[in-house]
Amino acid sequence: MLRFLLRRLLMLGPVLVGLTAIMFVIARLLPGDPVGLAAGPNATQAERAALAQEFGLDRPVWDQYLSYVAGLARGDLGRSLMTRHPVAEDIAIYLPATLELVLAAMALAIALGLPLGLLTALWQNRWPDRLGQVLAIGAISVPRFFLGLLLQLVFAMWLMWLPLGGQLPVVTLPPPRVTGLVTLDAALAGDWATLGAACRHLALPALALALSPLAAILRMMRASAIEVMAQDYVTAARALGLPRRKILIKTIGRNAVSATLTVIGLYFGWLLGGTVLVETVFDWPGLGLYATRAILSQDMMPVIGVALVTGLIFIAVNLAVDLAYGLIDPRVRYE
Amino acid sequence: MPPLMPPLLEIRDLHLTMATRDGPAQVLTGVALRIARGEIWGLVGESGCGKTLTGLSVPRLVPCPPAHYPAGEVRLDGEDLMALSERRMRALRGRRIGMILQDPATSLNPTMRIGDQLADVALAAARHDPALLGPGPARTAARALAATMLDRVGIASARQRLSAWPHEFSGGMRQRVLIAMALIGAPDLLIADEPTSALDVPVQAQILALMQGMAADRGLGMILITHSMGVVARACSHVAVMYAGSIVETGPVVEVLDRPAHPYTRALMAAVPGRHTPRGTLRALPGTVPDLLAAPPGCRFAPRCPRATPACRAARPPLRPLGAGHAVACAHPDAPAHG
Amino acid sequence: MTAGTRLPRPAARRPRALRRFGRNRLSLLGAGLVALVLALALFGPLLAPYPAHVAGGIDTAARFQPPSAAHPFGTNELGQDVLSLTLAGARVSVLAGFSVVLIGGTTGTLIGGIAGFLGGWIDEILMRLTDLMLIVPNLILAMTVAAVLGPGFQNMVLALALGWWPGYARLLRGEVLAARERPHVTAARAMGASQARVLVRHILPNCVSPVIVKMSLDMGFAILMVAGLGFIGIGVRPPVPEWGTMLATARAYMPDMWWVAMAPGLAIFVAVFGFNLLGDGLRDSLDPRGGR
Repeated sequence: MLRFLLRRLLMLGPVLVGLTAIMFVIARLLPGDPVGLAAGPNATQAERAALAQEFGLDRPVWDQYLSYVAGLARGDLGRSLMTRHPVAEDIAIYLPATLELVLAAMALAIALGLPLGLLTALWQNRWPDRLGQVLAIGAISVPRFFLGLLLQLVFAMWLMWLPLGGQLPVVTLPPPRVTGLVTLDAALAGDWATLGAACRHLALPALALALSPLAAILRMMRASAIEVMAQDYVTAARALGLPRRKILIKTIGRNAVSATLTVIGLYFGWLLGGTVLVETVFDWPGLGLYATRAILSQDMMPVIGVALVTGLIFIAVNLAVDLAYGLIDPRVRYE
Repeated sequence: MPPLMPPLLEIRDLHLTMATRDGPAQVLTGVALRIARGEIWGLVGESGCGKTLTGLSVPRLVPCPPAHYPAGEVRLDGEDLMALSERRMRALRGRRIGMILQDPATSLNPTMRIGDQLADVALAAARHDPALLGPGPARTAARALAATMLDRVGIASARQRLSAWPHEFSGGMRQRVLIAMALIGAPDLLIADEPTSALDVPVQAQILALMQGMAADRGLGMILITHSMGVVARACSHVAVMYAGSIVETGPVVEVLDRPAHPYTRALMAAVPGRHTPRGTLRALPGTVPDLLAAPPGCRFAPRCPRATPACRAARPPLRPLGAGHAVACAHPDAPAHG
Repeated sequence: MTAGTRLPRPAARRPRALRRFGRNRLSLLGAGLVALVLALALFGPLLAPYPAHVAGGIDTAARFQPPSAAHPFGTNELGQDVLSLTLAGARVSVLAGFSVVLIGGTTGTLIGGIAGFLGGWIDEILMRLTDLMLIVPNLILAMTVAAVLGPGFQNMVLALALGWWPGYARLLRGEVLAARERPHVTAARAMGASQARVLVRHILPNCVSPVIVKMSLDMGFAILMVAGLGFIGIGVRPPVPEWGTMLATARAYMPDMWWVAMAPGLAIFVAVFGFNLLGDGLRDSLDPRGGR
């Protein structure tokens, strides 16, 4: 198992280098005028040249790439033309908000998706199951940003139960930064009022983001639970008089979850790169907003940095999923 | 046994139809059995004859739908199980009726440790019979009982093995675990469906001996479902031969094996000597179990029977006693009656 | 079963798949919705009650009218009929979604097919590239490319297709590796068929149905991505009606003029829902193993 972990970690290096290569090719080979955009319309030729030189954009692409990779080894992700800050620092500011949103959404999706999937599997082909299936396909089909707008309209504007957007009320001072996750920091500081406010702000965007993974997890859990229910050990458990709850959770649930883990891992990574739309709707100060602003001004270093970091987290989550697989199913061997 | 006391298990005229895509199939057509404590019954027949469904029908484990029971009774100590609520039935499973399924490789939950699985069964049974675990915290007592049972079924260093995973055990050891699980609730009736078919030949004999011993120790009534007359001869006190959904010949093993009266029983016995013949092949008998969707009237064995007459195809022969507990459902039985 | 040794003939399988599909009412609903959306894509501008608005005409006197008989979904900030714009907007979404899936699917199929068929270092390189592309966040990639290339239908399709092929490459490679071992392929090889011929005539036809299933499941997703790009503001050029762009504009007038957002939002939902139901039904009937 240790060797398995080590080998997977060793593979990270080539993957990161490959990822930067792809992003570099895309970012640098496409036409575009990032320097012009960053310098502004009134900049003189000399000012542009100075800016290009400062950011190394006057050098050949391969040279830029090599120095980028060299910097990568030191944790240097380059500098943003737009904010003039090192990208790594910017990401450290924006990443926690996105992580908080994605974690909340996935927690919601898992907490509801797994039990609902198990239940609909039990009611297989009866009306609650059929209804659940239609609703699940429906949930996958709702555009997240439209769902976000609807939630805002109903809960924030008409009912006025929840705030419209942002991470905290403008007047509230954020809690001392420890993890960067506002809810967690507020809880650590023992500041319950701020925690409540943070949760209220988190509710709508998390819900908008959670719906489609919830449906996907539900469907996967249902399918694998139905498969598991046909297994001999389920009949055996019934024949031996185990209580229904125990059969459902320990026998069917445990065995069905392992197949669902893969979907959870995939969705986690996928959400991380897909919060852009929800962050735009809710003015959520996360990586997606940061990346969007950078993209619109053709400022490529932040874009590459964001792609790298989300890719890295994606890999880490899938590694965690592989490990969790082994925890649930002892037959899994790491080779 | 006093005449008025009901037998441990009595199945009367059990009918089972199964809804299939092509219409209802009559899978069981009037199965009847009487089993007393201490008796080991072999339920024998080709695959598809309904022996597994008969076994699963006793603890009511056949999913309905697609299955449906148009008629019949299953009485445990006189109480009709078919009339019980699902809740009451669940209280009997594992506690009064133990069950061992066909394939030990797939009958254990792969994601739970052996000891936890055994303890769960013990805890479930103890909910209906608190005396099972004795005093003290239930979880601890259940684990202790699990270790005792593992030891009893011949698994060495049982206490350590409680924390083993099913995949770490061989087929024979898993079957021992399943026997322990079936018996941990101290049932009165044990139903074992092909408990040895998936095992290697030397292990088969060990497992059969173990089951015989356990049954004798506890005065169990037992149904041993098998396709092999060899197993019946080795392990059973009584035998019921099934063909296409009903019992065609029944009686003490010594009687039936010495004087088989039904041509089908003879054919099954002819298949015995080749202990290594692949399962399901009957050398003496061409053809297969008939189509249960379009069952003809009359004896269902008639199309394959060397002695069938027009009368056989007209009406189904009932089980007729031949004496000494031996009975046969055949218009032209083979052996002469006793006397 | 004595018939078990015969190779399954695709022709004999198809009617059964069709019957299975027909039995499922949900897939029929999906097929109906898809037919509706396709009809809108073809004839939407003709069906629009106010064709002048579709062409870019405005009517400032009739700004922000709430839903009424004349304007079932109200009018927008330029006084244009929201229903007309939504009906006409089907064209961009469906056409773009379809192009993305077709281009991405074909590219991925070719790459996966070649990798699986040739094997060796070519397979190794192509699959490493595929794995890398799977890690790159799709939306960010598409946004980057679309932003640099500038707004426009072709640029948007290209941007999305660029990240769309890896799933197909993975799928096809697996199918090809399995198909290579089938008896009729070995036989064709033994008879001296050329590499290309074996691939095109004997292997690829066997991989058609999983690819079709994946394409139909991807259509809904592609429409969502197209609308997402439009919502961010990187889509088609403004006068052309497009659902995502319409939603982005509507958002600015949200609490009071809420109706401006309803029609395009619902249209996206209906189109995606239809394709998802259809794809699901197709998967169940063509690929009973129920692979992903």
